[in-house]
Amino acid sequence: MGEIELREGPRRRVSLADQLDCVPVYVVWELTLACNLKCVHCGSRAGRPRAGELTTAECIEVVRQLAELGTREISIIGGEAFIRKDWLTIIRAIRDHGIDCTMQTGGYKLSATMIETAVDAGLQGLGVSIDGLEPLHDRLRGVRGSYAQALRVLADCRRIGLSASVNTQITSTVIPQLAEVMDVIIAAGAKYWQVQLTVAMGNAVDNDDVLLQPYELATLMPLLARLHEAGRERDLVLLPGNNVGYFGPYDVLWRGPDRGHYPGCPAGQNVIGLEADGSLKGCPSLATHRYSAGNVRDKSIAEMWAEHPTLRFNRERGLDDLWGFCRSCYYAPVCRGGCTWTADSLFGRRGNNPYCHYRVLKLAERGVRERIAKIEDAPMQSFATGRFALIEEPIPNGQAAA
Amino acid sequence: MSEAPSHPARALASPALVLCRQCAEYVFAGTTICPHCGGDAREIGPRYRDGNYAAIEALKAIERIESTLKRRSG
Repeated sequence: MGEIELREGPRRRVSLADQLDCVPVYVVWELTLACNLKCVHCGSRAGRPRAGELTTAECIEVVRQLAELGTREISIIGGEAFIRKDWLTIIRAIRDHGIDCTMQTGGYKLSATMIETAVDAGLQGLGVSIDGLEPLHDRLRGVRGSYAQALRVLADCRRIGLSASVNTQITSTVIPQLAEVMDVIIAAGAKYWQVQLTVAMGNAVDNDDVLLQPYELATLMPLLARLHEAGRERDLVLLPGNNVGYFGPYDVLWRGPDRGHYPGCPAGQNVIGLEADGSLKGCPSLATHRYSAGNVRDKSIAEMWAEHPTLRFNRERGLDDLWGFCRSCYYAPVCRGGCTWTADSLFGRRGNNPYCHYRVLKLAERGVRERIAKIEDAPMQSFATGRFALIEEPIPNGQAAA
Repeated sequence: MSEAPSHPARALASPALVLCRQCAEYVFAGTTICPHCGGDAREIGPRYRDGNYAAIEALKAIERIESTLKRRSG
């Protein structure tokens, strides 16, 4: 970094006032659980619509309530959001209430005409999932041709003038391909690339061979740092998802200092997740049975937001939830175990997250590393979790932590 | 759907971290000896200087003050 480079952030960037006033700045909203892909890592086990998904009128009322609470961006997801017949009406309602609207998609069967009509309705950005080069992507997404369609969607966005980013799941198999994936998405015109570790939830528990081992962060993080720096030279910003971190030698590259350091998990403090049937959580991916604050059909969002314990757990910044390595970590008062979803999905309990670069490096100083092993499958339900054991073991000879 | 409550939610903010001026890793504000590199966290070293981190951190501090003032006046 030779020049001072302060980037104007999206409106969803959280300020100190947002933190203190607990503004639900960013909402991720599953419009439907219906999906045309069959991803082997899908946490929500998407495919068919949920029973009792919200009606159009109920969705518009949700938008009105979120606007009153100060929400600045809603990202619509699925399943596949555009499978809902009224998706354009909902986009229009979001924009009419002064809220930014983006969409995350697999891109399969999302035509150029559909993208154009979504832009006309007010869609401001599209995140397209690309999980590897063609054979790997199509295998992970469960549909042959899905990779080609995702790239075609990126090309359509460029032609139409819609801001497009790429989301990539970091699975155990994609790491050797990441540099080539970056070449592909730069050629396709993407300007932002968000990477996120695949989490042990739903289908990813069934197919747990796709999960990265925590100790693999020792090689992943230096690679991401190299790609981040190479990407900047080519007008691509590599952004870490909430579960990529934390601190360590490279965090300043992608999180700060102009973006501010990692402040801890924002679930329930500045983020809301909504399921298609109206269940409300502090993050879209948290296990429903442990984290649902109720349903928008039964209570106002403001009421749940102000009072419900499953939304409040991050707000007082207490350390009582922390255990294991995270409890005594130097960064504990700030990080508080990182991504709630990642830790809770592994162990059925938040507050101890082995997917942490700083932790991997500290353990390596003692010559040990951690791996996970499945001990219980996940039920065949949306956002279901299994159970994993955390095993500490000596680093094998010849494998030094990076 | 029922009426909104009159009491809004409140939360605490994350403690502020600054960069060690030697190794550019995060430390708590006021740290003298960096727990990561063992150097003087207040003394500007090459990595911090060459990365223009001083200017960036100053601008972030101003942003934080502005945010606090806006909240107090609003």
